[in-house]
Amino acid sequence: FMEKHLKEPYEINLMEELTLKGVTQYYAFVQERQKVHCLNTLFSKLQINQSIIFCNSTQRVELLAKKITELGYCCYYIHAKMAQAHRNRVFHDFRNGLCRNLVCSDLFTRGIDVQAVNVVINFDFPKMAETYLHRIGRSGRFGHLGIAINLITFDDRFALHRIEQELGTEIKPIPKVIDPALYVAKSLDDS
Amino acid sequence: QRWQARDEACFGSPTHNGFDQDFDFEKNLALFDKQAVFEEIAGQRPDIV
Repeated sequence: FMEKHLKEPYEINLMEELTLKGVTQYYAFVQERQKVHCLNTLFSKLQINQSIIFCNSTQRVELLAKKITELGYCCYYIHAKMAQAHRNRVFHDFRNGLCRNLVCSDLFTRGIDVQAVNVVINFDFPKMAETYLHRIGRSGRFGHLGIAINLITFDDRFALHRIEQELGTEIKPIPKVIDPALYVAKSLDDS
Repeated sequence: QRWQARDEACFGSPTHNGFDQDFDFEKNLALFDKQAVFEEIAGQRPDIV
């Protein structure tokens, strides 16, 4: 088909523009009922500059955003069932740093390019490698430090196995202490 | 139905229930032998190289 219809096509692979380089990937093993507790502990322990937290459904985005607010953390949320204009405004405010955390479903088709985001949490682990890459991957130009933490339930084991294989990457068990050098930018005061 | 049960398990209980202690990451990681589980998965699908 390509040879017949395209004259001297210029081939690019958009997937290659997303990279996992610079992102340290961990998993925590949890039960569904432990996820909110686990997230609360992550919030209190990690040095989050800005975070994005992914859920697998719009319903769960709303439920989780409500929980996070109850826990006393500022959070925005966006999902596919919201009007585009509203989504744009929320994302714009998030990018400008008005709020530290953003809960969302899979809306980003080109990876996230918000420099200030140093922690991405998969509250729900995705089924597809492509989805994982879009959530965690950074576009090459912006490849910079960050950590990704995946909350894994026993039901996610097949997806975890498949995604590691397909992306040729390793998601390690979360260590007791995460080295800040992996995801916290040195403040200007230190230098 | 299954999704509803999942959402209920995840979000159903009162938020501040037992959160005065940190989530025990190590104890939970010990419940999941990743290597063994992966070997089992790989063994179940000999057709996929």
